Amino acid sequence: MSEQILNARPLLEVQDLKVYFPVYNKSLIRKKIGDVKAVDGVNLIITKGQTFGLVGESGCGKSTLGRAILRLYNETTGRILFDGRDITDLKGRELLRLRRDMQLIFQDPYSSLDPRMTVFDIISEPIKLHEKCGKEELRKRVHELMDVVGLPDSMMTRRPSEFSGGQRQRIGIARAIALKPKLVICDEPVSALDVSIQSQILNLLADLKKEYDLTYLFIAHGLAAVKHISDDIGVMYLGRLVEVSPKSQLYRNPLHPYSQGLISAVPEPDPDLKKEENLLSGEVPSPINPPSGCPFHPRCRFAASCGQRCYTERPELREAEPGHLVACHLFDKEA
Amino acid sequence: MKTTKNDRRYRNGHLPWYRKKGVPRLIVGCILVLIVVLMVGVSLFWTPHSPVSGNLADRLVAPFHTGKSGTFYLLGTDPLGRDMTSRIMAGGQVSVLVALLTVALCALLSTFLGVLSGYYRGWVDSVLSMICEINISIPLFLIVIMIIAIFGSSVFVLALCLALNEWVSVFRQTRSKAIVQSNYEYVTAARVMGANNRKIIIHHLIPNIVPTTMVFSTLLVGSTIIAESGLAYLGLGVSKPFPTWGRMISEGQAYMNTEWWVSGIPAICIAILVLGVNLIGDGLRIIWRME
Repeated sequence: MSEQILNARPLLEVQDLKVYFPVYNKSLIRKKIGDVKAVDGVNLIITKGQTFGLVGESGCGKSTLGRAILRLYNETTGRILFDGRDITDLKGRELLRLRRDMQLIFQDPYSSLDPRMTVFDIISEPIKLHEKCGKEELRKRVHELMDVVGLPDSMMTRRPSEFSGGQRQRIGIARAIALKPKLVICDEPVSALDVSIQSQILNLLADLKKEYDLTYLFIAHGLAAVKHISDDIGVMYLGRLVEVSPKSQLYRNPLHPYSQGLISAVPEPDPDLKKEENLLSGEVPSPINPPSGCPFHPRCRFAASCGQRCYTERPELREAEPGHLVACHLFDKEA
Repeated sequence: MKTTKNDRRYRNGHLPWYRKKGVPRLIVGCILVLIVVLMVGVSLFWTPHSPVSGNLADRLVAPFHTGKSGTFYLLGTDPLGRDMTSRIMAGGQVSVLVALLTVALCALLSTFLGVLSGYYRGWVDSVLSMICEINISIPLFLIVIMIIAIFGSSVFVLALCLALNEWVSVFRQTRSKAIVQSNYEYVTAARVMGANNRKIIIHHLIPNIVPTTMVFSTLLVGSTIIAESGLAYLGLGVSKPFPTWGRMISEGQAYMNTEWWVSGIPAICIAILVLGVNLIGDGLRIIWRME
């Protein structure tokens, strides 16, 4: 797999991406009183054909990162390179063209489909927005897409309210792949579904990846769903990536104390297995006022023994093993 | 699951439309409104007698009685001997026209502004909401009286005035609905697919807001007719001698104790129309499951 990464060129490269949402006071005269640092300097490379899993607690900025890559926020600084092209400041027609190549699958299959539209309208919407397409051809293409995601043809004229969560998610997936995008950002696509449906949808995503030659940025809040589908995994904490590594290495040998905590939180189905006690405690600090130094230090079990640096100096993402990056002073060789 | 042939009928709530709650109201409301509209429609071509000139010999004939001249009057006559049936039929023209125009204006204005306000938020929303609050805090009836005093009282001026008086209540509903809808992910989805603001508003927001607008607009018809009657009662309606229901009530008030039908019958007509339209609005609200 590492060989594959070496050979493939990067499809998406994110350089020092920051998304700060301004916070205002509530009086009549608005005054800026701070920033929510939703994404705070993320560097990321996703190669073509890869599935990059992005994991973190809720509120750590993983969804914001995904949406910032899709250019949905104006409050973005840094650089986003897509297919070798800087897309950070694209506007108008150029941005519209970019939309073809990047799509989003939503977490909530209920609010992500317009309740007044039929399945046909929903799936054909992206095609209509980007191509001039005759009625017969449109019908044919929607028919094909429904077939690919496993929806019977007879449902074409129904509305989303008549479908179950899993079926709705299939409609959303059909809509996302309608234009054959290069990159699909999956924003927790299975966390709102039943466990039995989750695996079906994950398998569908895996099949589609092969068939349409897709690249995924797969966002999830737990490591369990990501384990199944990802090649590389990035762990996010408070708007920053704290560990990036191939899947096997991360599960075998998590380096960052936060990743260790996340892995210990995955429930084990074997009752005889002696489980390490929960390594994570406390709450995520406010992204308006992130802790000084390493943002994880208030919850870290090593911070007290590690020395002053954790409290004052922000650790950079560095290679600790080949292909395995971690942002922690424990693995800082220069120290 | 039912056969695909019948899918259309079992869609949305999985009940055939005629078995849904709210449908009886809708039907009764439609019948009442239809009666009034038919009556008014016929008056455009034919009335039993002239609505504006009467026979003074047949003053104040009671309903279902024959006057001294030997003419039978279904709903009696007024103090000038004019046939009430004809006056009711013709008087409805103004009332119904003003009500429909007002409500259409309200619906258009509040859908458009509500969507702008709820989708763009920011300063657009602040300004529009402020205008709303100013609108509510000033007793608009006084301003309406002023406008009519200046511009005269044609049907259109009347409708405009009344719309100005009432658009706020619909606007608030459409605005809040637009805010809710704008925050749904399907709007984000449309943006990711490459839809611009105009397309999002036209293809997604407006279709989702129209039911709200329709329900709250139909509920306005009642108060509009009553407001129009109120203006006519004050002598500010469409100019004499052409009758309107409101002015007929005001003209009959001196005879209320002895000849009830002069103001009673137009009042009943207003009540029927208001009831009918309210039933339609209420029925739609229940069928579409809105709060």
